[in-house]
Amino acid sequence: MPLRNDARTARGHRPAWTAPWPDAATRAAQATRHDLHRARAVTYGIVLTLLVTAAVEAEVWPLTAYRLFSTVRTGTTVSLELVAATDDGDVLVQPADRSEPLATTARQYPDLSTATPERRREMVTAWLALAGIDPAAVTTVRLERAVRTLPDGTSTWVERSRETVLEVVP
Amino acid sequence: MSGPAGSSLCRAARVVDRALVAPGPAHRLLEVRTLLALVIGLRLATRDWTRIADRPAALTDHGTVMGWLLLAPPAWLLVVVQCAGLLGVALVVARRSGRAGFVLAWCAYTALAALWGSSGKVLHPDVLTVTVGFVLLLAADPPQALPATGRSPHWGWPPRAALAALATVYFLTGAQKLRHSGTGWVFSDNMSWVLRQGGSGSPFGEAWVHAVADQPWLTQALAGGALVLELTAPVWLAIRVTRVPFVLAVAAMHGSIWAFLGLDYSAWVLTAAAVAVPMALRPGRRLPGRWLSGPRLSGRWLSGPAHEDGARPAAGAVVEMRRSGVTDRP
Repeated sequence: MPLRNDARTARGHRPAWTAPWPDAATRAAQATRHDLHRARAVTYGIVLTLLVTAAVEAEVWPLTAYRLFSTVRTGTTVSLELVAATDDGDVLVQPADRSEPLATTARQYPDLSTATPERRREMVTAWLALAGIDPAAVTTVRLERAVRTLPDGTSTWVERSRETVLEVVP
Repeated sequence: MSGPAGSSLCRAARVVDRALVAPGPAHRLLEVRTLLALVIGLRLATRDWTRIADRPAALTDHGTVMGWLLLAPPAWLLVVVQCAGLLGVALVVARRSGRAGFVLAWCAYTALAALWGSSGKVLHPDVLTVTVGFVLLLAADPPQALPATGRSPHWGWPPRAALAALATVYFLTGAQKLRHSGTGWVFSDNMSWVLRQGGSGSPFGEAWVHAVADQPWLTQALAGGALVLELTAPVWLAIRVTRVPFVLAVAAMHGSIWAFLGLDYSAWVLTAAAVAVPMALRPGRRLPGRWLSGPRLSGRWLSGPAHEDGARPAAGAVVEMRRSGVTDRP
């Protein structure tokens, strides 16, 4: 008996491997269900991920807490600076290229406090290189905290205090 | 959750879900994807990514999606990645393997932007484009010849998902301000000090920024306007007729940030426009430009549901067969 797989063949005579594929209407319905599942998974997934990341304040770019100017600014600024002590006097250490992505490495100054001594030397030496300062000409590098305010009616910030946070010998 | 509030919430959730998975035209997905690819292409082409190679390895922060890369990439490799991304953009615009091209462009852009921002400071100018682009990675590829009236959930959900991502990001920027500063973010000297501290970066000089900062009513209005815009972004973007005004509003906001502080958030404006402007059009309308929304395919037998599996009919052969009296599809 020739193998046939259609409505004329009694179900009991159909070999299992000739089981029919779903017809076009069934395939269309399955594809639509698949689209719906994907749509919901992607949309709700991305929204939930963004909300949770912001809630826990994780920062693994591009997942971020979106803290753009989120704190209140006042008339007092506190900043960390690197100052190199050389034979010619103190020199402010800042990258010769004042734009991204080199200038923004200064945001890692606070990490010096918790770094190991070897890591501190490594980082400070790298900053000296970016600033074009020869480490051999530097006796010590200080991380200093400076507090500044802006007097009324002026546009020049005035330094009120400066203290050394730590020192590193490059 | 029970009670009237709970049932209202459930009803609202069902409305949102129905809107998300409703059928949509393929050309709309094509428009959004093409515009977003162009934004990625612009960012890739207008930045010197080789400066990443100038950063010492000791000063590279690994808190990004590229944090697994421990070796500093050489300049030539960065250029290769940049070119690969631009090739992907070209594929999207030329509609040759558009989906693969978009994936290529997005991956290259994300990798380079992550490396650029691995200096210890979280950089936000590129993050919106990357986030909104992510949802389109899983969108199907529209057919070469687009049916004039074909609609399907296949094409409808990706642009709406992009809108949802856009709305969520803007909402979060406002919510975090409220969370960490409360209403004092608006009703204090906060914005005045933001301007005074950042005014040195203004491309138009510092004097006028300080003049604005000295007007409390103006600075609080700026702060309040920005916060309201961000918190209400989901509402603006949920309603078709307010999507274009939203784009204009964020253009004004980010434009003022650039003018006052010199901070470039043009990618945010372009991304919002790439998603919200096509989605502001009536369902049957397309953006001008065949390269943007694809050629139309008319014909009575094509009126109806779009091909669910994304099949690409040979339009020329079908029209010929129709003229010759053959009514079966090839």
